[in-house]
Amino acid sequence: MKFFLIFILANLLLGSLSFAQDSDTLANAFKEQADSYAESELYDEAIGQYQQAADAAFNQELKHKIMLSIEHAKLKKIELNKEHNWDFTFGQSAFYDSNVLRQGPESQQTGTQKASPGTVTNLYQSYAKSFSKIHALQQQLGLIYNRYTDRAHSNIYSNDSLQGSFSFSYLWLHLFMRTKAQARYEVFADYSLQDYEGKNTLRYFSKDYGINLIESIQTSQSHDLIFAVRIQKYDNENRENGLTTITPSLSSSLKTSSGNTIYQSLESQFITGEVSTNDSRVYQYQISYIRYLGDNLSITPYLQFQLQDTKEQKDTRGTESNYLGGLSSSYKFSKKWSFDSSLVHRRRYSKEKTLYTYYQTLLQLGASYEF
Amino acid sequence: MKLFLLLIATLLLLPQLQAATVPHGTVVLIKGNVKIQERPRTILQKGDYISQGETIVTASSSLIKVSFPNASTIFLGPNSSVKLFMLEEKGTNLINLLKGQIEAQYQKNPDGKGLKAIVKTNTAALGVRGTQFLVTYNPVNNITSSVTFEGHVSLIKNQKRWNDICSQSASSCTKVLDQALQKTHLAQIIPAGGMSQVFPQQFRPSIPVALNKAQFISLVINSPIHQDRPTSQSVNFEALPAVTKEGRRSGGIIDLKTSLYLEPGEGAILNKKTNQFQARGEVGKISLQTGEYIPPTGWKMNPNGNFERDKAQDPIHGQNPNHWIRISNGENDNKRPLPPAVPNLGKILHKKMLQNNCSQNSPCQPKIPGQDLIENGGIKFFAFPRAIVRLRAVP
Repeated sequence: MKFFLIFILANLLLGSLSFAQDSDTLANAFKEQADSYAESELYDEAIGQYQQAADAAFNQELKHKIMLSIEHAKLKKIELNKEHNWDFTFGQSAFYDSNVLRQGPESQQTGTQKASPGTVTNLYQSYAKSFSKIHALQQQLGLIYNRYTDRAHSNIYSNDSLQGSFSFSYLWLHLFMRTKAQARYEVFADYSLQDYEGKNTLRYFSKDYGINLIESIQTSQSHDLIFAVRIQKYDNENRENGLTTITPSLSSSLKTSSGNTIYQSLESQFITGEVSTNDSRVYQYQISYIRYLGDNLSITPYLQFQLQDTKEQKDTRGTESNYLGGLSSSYKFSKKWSFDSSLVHRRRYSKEKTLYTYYQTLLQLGASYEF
Repeated sequence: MKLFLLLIATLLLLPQLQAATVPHGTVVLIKGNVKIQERPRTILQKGDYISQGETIVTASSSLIKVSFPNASTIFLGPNSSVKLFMLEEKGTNLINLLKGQIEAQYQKNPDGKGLKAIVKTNTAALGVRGTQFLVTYNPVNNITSSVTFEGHVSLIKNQKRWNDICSQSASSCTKVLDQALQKTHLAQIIPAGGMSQVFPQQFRPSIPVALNKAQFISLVINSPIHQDRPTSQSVNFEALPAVTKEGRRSGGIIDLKTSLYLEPGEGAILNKKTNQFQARGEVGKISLQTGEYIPPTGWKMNPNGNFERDKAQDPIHGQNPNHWIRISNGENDNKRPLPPAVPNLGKILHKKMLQNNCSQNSPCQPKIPGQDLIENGGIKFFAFPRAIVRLRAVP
């Protein structure tokens, strides 16, 4: 009986050894072909062959090696396709806002109950450089100027603003529990000027800075799971409005078989104010569906739901809720030009009805040019 | 009563006795819908006998493996049909592949002399001594292709008159084909790793060309016949030139369904390590489970070698694979115009795909790692710009 069992076990072992050997032989054959493609700078073909090699490989060390080769080929492909690492975009759009909100931290925004059209001018610049197979750096600068066309009411044009944003990110491709993952470690800062006194002069209004730690894990070919933590310090011209916010979030990005994307995210903001009455907790869920219609048009319907625990202001504001639904679209009508539009409707409910309960509809149409 | 019992016993034993006397094969593996054409009501099972003169027919997703007393095994793939013309324990076996694909393994005769088997199709015949090989035959384009897994196989083009002889007598057929296979000016010897084809319009089989290494290995290791081999045995193949004297490039892929060879064409590169050409572009891939060729998503190949859009699926990549590969069907191969390089497709690629030259095997990549997190929606809500001070342009 013992001999029989040993015989069975030995056969099973030999069988699995043989399978492993065969699989790795096949993986190496694909890898050989992929290497040759990569040498000829045919990275699409190389990635395809590396992928087959990775699928065939049994030996984990070999598999890891192939996965790294895939990432390397992807980066090389990007470098090859990209003439430069710079991005410049200029955008100009017009909007109609049914209820202009007083600028400030979202948790403290209030409605003016007045409508106004306006314009937005955007400038965006980024520079990215990958400096090895798996590491890259990215820097981004953004400048946005908001101007309301209603110049008769100071509580409208006092919201004219100019915001500058800067970020610097380190990106790292790696394996997380043998799964493909990418991390982004970012430091950022924003600085805003605003005509908050209604004197047709932009003055320092607020600044904020912080870090973003993002880990995106590719759980399958079509699904990414994203963990993120943002820590942000916000200062206002009125020191009492200063805030410190810690925001953990969990998101999921699912690519459907038709190439569209369903994105969902859950986050909570732990907000601590300079003044304890500004403390609050925000819990947010959002879902968006990025739908591609044809080659150049994308439409994104999205929904967002927020609950805000106003802490010490609970007696007056209660637990506030914020519902937001929107539809944005982007149409690329030439290599450089695209036309963007968005329609958003927001409803915010609060126990304090005068200031914090408001509805807002915002329609924005614009064009952008990528240099 | 005794007489009656004797009669019953005789009737019961008769098939066994008959099976023991008539040369036969034994079913060792069966999957799906496999039938014997001459006994359509018989439900085949493992251990059943298949006699000389019977025809095995497999449906799609079905297969059968049959072993013979002369230590040989055949494996019939899906949508195939084979007639066991002559099965002799010591003589030459004759097998007629009517359509589809067959893999076979034959042990050498102890004296090393004489053919162990002949596998014929409507257009070709293979002489086997001791070897493992694959033959495909497509009755629509009448092309026979053969790949040798181990040892050598000799291949000749079948003559019409030989088919006439074969339809009358199995032994005469064996004799005629045996003689023809000895004639070196008619036959092509296919070494391990090589592939040769017989086209209806050509007098001789094509000069053996090295099959794509990865497909060859995948075909061999996934072969049900190969899986019986000793565990230490590795996959071997002989060195063949990168380009044959006929000008055919090595490194192509064989499509088992159409029996066509997809030769690396426009812009192919030569892999100096393997001495094989590699096709450019999105031309499909090789199944890791079977070694079969899988066309690119949204494309299917006809038996005449032309790719067509598969209406059931949208192509991920718009380029017609015919642009990157040459497919021989034996006539006017060099005069075939290449399809245009620019894809002419309706709805398939979305913006990001077009911008980044994405393909099935190389999904859209960010400009730098992580860039997709920002560009593909969603995460820009909390990545850039930051949520707390919302910029007007968001969302």
